[in-house]
Amino acid sequence: MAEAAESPGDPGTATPRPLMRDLKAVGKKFMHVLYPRKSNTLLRDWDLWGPLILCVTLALMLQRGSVDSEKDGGPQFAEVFVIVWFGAVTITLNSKLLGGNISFFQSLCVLGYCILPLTVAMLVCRLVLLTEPGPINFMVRLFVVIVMFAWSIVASTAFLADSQPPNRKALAVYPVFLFYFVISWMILTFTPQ
Amino acid sequence: MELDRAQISLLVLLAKLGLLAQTLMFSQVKAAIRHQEAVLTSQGSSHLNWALSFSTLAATAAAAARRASQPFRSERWSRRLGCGLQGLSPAFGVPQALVDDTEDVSLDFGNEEELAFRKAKIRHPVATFFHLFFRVSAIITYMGCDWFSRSFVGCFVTVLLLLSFDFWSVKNVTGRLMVGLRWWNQIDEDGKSHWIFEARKASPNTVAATEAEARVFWLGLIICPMIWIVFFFSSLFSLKLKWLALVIAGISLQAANLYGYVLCKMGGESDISKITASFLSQTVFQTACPRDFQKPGLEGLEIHKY
Repeated sequence: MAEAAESPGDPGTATPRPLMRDLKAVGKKFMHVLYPRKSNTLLRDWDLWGPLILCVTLALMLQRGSVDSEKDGGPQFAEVFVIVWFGAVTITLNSKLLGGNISFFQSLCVLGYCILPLTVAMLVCRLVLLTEPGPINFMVRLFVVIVMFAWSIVASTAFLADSQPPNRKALAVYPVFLFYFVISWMILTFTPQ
Repeated sequence: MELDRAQISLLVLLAKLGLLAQTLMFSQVKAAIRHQEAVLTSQGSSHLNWALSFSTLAATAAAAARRASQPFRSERWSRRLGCGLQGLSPAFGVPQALVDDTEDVSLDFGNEEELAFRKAKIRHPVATFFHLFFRVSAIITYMGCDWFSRSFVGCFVTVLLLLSFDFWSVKNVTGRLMVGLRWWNQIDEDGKSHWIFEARKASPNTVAATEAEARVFWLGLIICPMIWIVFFFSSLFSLKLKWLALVIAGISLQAANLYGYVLCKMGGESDISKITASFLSQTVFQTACPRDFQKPGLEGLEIHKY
């Protein structure tokens, strides 16, 4: 389930599916998100390994110094996980109820992969936070997060908007906007202990 | 958060083990040439020693995978298409026993490794090992989290990684090798998604799944999700809710594989109680090894649909 197609070129061998093929497919999808083009790769051969990796990376980076203390105000690891996956599921349900012709896992795949720019933003923010705090620090982080947020939105709507009937596009895109906004907010307001 | 060095090295070791095993199996499958090697003559005994040393495992895996590439090439797959598309729907029936190998001795002369392969109770020891290894170690790591380290994040990530490795290997490797079933999702040109479930038809060219492997496969597939469901209730009622995310992820990954393979096995049968009854009776009431039965009798039991 976590990945899609057998290639039709397996006429019936029982050879196990090669690991490298799956890894290459994940890498190719990352490239497609970074340079959004009109192509069907993300949709046709969906897989959920990329979103899992990105979600875990993001949640790891959003950790504070002391892991199990309840005193810090930042999101715990499991919360980030739940927010990302539950949010993605909700958006998918919404788009299906609006009459979109995209399948459940395809939509999860696209939403998950389009978190990549925000993960890059998180990385940059963490690096920037190593320098001294101040307004310049904040401005840089704000700029980076806004750019990456816009990138995520553009990448995901490039794939998702086509699957909706024309008068419903805005209704389908709005939850995506909210979803990435919440994640960007978590990234921007992150301060390590 | 910081993962301990020990945990990082454990993670890396696990990943390396997984990748190494896969590379070994697949690189051998790609080779199309059968080598007559001295090591193969001793395969009969080393099959049962698979747990003892990894070097024996590697050699056995290489030889077994090479052997595996031969009979599977000309086999047939029978397919059950999901979502209301009825096409070829097989009834896989009960897993067939080992073929009678006394027939082969007089006909094939260069086939000692085939015979050793067919005689073996477990033909794919590496696949069997890894089928159980990732599942069981995920469960053990989850249970032992409080003792190993205080880090919630390290434990979470480790268990999640193990569950992912397990999902991938059961879906893509061990199902095919051990019981000859596979399932996947396909999106066609119109954007419609189809779930496809296939079961390998046993034909005279191919070797059917052994009972030991089939038993290990199905028991592993069924027992582990039940254990995760127990964990779900225990974490729910003891109010350790931060573990709930992990337990739910575990349940969904393992249940997905279970569901997919059950659908593969059911094939044309839509009555799941019949399948469970036959499975239970087969595992519980197994008496003499059906090796004494001749092939023609067994063929009568198989239902081939085309």
